[in-house]
Amino acid sequence: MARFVRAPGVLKASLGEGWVVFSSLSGETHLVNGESVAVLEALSPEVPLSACQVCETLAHEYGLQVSELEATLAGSWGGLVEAGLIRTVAGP
Amino acid sequence: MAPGRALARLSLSEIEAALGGQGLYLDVGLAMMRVRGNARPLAVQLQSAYRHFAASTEVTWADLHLDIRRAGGLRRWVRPQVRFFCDGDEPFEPFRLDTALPLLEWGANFLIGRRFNNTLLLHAGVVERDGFTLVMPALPGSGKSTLTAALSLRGWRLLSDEFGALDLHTGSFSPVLKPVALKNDSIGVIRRFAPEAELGIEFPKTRKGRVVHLAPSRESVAGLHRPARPGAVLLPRWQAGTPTQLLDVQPQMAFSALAFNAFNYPALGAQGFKAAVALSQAGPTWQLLYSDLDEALDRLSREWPAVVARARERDSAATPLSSGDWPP
Repeated sequence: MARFVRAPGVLKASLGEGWVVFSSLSGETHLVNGESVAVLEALSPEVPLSACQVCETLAHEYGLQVSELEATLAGSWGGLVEAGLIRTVAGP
Repeated sequence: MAPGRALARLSLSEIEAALGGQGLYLDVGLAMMRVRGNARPLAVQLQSAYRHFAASTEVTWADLHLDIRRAGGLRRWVRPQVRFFCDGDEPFEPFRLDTALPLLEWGANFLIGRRFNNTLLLHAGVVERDGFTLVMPALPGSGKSTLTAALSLRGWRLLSDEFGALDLHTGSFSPVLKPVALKNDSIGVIRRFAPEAELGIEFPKTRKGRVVHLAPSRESVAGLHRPARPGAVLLPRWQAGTPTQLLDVQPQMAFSALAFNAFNYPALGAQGFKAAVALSQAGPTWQLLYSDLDEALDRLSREWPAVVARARERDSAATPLSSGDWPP
């Protein structure tokens, strides 16, 4: 199962109904939604977590069903990896 | 030449002598420009556009060394041209001889846009009233220069038509005061709007079409070193026949308009991101739809006291900016 860490040097800011995120590594800025920010907040640069673990953490935090969150966040992972905001970690 | 005399008070021969000698030093706020050159039309064109600026030949430091030279060889006689040099480089193709000032302005703006990384250098028009700025990012079709010029002709202090220089340490805007380059249809619009406007020589055939420079007022020039705090961001759009509408827009839209149009946002990295975020959160962002300049300006003037009150409250609540970077 893939595990993820947040890339180091990621900054975020809430602007009205949306969010902007900056990657110090790439120098790129991304306009993102609240679901993607929740994933970034649940991850750290040091401790890899699977998508399932992230969903469990967020479900507990927001009082939601894990299955519901898995469906909500399903579209976020690929975009965040592609943007360089999170990374997949190899190994067990 | 006595230091500090307004260009309008100098004779053309004094200006020509300075341009041909040590150079004419022009303080535009953020930068000191040293202008030299032997292209004959430059003196009268400079005097017209920079008429209220103090000129000197005795300054020892300049940020920009600009040299406008008449092309030699065959070009002295056949379709004469001028060339622009800075620090030994010639970044542009020559212009027609009679468009020396547009070439100088283009060159100076090009250089300013590549330096001054102690500021987040927005591509925007900036005016000030009551100590707070109205920032108009340069989005395509926005009519930024027309609106900036109109506001400056109705009592708003002009900080810049081209550069919003947000100081990263203080969070205030520094003037980068240069003539407002009005192009094509906007020339007639401003002539009708303010027949008393101090418009300079018309350049009918530049690479951007017809250009006339509006000379910054005495009051704006007097404020060259007076910064102003962020007030509001305005995204103007002129639409024929539309009634004036001032609409609130999301700060995310302000961020995109400010950061992605800045000259040095990528170079500043995290510092630029933080500054653009703070600026987007600092006050309201409006979209202005208009077809009538007078109506549009009246609407902005009516809204302004609320902007000032909110900005004063924001500034009084903030941690004093005595040290460190802005935002904290």
